[in-house]
Amino acid sequence: MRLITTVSEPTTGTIDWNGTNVSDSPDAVRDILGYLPQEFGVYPDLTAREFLEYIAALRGLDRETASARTSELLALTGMEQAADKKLRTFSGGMRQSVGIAQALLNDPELLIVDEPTVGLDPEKRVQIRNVLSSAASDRVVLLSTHIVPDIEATASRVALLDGGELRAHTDPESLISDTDGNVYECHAPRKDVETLRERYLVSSTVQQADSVQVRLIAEERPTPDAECVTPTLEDAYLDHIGPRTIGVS
Amino acid sequence: MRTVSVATAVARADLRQRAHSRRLLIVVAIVAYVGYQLNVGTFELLYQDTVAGETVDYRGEPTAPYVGLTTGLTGATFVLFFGYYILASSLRRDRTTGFDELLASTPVSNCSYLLGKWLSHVGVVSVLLLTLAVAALTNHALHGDGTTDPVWIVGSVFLIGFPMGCFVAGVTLVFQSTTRLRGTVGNVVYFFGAAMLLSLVAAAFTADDGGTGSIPSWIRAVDLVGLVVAGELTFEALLSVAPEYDGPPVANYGAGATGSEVITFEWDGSSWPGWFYANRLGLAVIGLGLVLVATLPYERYNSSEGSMSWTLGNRFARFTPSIFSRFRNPFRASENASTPRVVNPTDVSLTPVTDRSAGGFGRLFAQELKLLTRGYPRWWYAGTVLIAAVGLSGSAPPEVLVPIAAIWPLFVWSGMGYRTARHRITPFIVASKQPYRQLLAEWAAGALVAAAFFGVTLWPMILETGLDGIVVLVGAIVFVPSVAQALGLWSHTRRVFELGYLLLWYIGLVNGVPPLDFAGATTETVGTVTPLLFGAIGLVALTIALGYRWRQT
Repeated sequence: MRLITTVSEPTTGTIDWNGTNVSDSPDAVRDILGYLPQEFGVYPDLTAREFLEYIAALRGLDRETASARTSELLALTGMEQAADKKLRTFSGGMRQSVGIAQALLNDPELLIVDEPTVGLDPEKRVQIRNVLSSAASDRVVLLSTHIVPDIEATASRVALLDGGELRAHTDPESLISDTDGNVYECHAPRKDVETLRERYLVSSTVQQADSVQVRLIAEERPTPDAECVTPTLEDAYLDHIGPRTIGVS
Repeated sequence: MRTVSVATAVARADLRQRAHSRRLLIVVAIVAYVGYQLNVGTFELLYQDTVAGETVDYRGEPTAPYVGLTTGLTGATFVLFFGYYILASSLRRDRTTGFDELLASTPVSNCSYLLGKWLSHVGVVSVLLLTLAVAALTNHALHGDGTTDPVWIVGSVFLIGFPMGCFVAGVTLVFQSTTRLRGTVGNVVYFFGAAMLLSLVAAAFTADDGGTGSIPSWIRAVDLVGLVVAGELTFEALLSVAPEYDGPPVANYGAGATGSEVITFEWDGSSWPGWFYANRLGLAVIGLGLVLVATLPYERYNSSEGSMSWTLGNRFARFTPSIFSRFRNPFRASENASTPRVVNPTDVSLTPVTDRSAGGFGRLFAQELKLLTRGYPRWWYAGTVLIAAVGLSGSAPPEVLVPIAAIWPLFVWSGMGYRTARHRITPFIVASKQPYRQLLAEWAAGALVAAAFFGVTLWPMILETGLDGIVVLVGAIVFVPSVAQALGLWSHTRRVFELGYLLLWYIGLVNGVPPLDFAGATTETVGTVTPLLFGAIGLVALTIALGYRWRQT
């Protein structure tokens, strides 16, 4: 993401935007870019409005547009009441909302957001997800996240990266259909759960009165009573990159 | 026992962290360079006398004991003046990285933690002293007189320098544990404190005839860097070549007077006086004792910078909100403002953006000016108003008012360049279309502050001298913000600028040394090349800052 946003320079390879090499002409991207880094800071002594106006000036917006969009984006992210409070008083979720707002200030054609919902409460997460989903209707939004429900709610294309390697690049439906027939649910005694974990990729467990309901990914039926179920995006994600990460051989 | 083992673990981790940083390498390189300059005689320890109206400098032959002695003095002086700025990062790092929160949840006591940091500080000082000692050993082996005696050289460096390191390590802990002394105020207070402590020994230079024996005992007690003991050790050797010597009984650092006669004496070492061992032991013990002192202001539960500050006022405001409601309560804004409200994106209509290259320098400049001048304590603004009033009245002489006006905005300038890294704003700037614009806006804001402070103090001189006075003003306006910004960008800290600026300010403005007077405190620089040189240095610094930004993009 730092390479695409021109914050870092690639050592090998090229990145093109609409046929223009980004390294050769960084302004081609900077002009139309909205960027929310995973770790970003704010000036604690500025208010949310002042900070957004500062970013708007950096992004080359005229005074009227900057002022109007600042107010509108503060409303969109639910920050109207806090607009004139200093940023040092903001909670993590409020700060993240300001981050989203600054990324949308220049009405970017390319919006890059890195882990925007990590650590947020469910309500704030839904809010940011809604904003991103709405923004994605008429622009390219590149969202990096480990939170699968965020992808389910927003993404029309998914790229799976594992250790910097592209494992899949497709739409969510195709990703899920690749896992079709490989996801099972079964009930197992507690003592057998560890054995199942060792042999299969377990995506979830639900504790029950006398057994454990186990959801797992396997190429063949793991137990005689196991039931083949419809995969979710999380199952597909684990199926593609889970074994290496989790260490199942 | 547990305290010591925990402290050792803290010290080990802190030292490892420092060892992985390039900053320590740079400091070691600077120390090695200082040692080299001492060894080649760029500056040295000199006795000075006036014989028949001519200045005569006396210095020792480079025997192993003499090299050890002068290197030890240099090490102690370096640690006294620069040690604090080198060591201060350890507690700050734990606060800014949030490690202090982890620490607060462990059973580690404040005393163990601070003792560990003290040990780490002492370790860093030891590395610096060892570097100086190795440089001295090498130089003596190559160019010195007589046998290279490592015991004399290394021993002297550590006997003089190590206790000073213990002391400065302790002072650093006290300052960094005290909320009010952590930042620029502490940097300034430390600098003046060090200068004041050193100046106590200055009384020795005015001691009556009768050599070092006439130096009062209390001066021996405050002989921090070893000037008095050096005099006591070498004075007899000096008298053997200059029996009529009539100068001060202690030597001082200097480059020697231009064209002066230089006479050398040979000192092959003698036993250290007992009082000096007591002096050094006392200094080390005080340093260790300061660890305990630091536990008093140290706030274990103080969270990272930028969040809640547990000042006395805040505590009152928190626990007695109804009575002290006029105190600002940092919790309140979050609570009120964070009332969550999920907005449907379709309910908000956004103004379309038709132009993404509409300038905005003026707005950036206004925000940068806010960033530079906002958030200081009220006394600072009151002082600013006072300086402006006194300056505009034209009643104060420039040699008094200019130094004050030059030091007052140190807070403002020292944040330049460094602020974007500190607050992690750099990605926003680098990914914007005009990454240079922010730099220039920040520079212009800093220059405006400089113009205001120097303008109100220099206007009588400008009226009197015309264009020459304007050149002095412009030189200062260009020099200060440019250097501040370049050093802030380069070093990612405000301390490099603060320390360099303080030194320059103290020598050039306070002591009125014209070649270093960048702001016209002495009227001697008017019409000379000095302000032009400072202006040129400022332009070079600004170019370096732009080059740094170019590299970032």
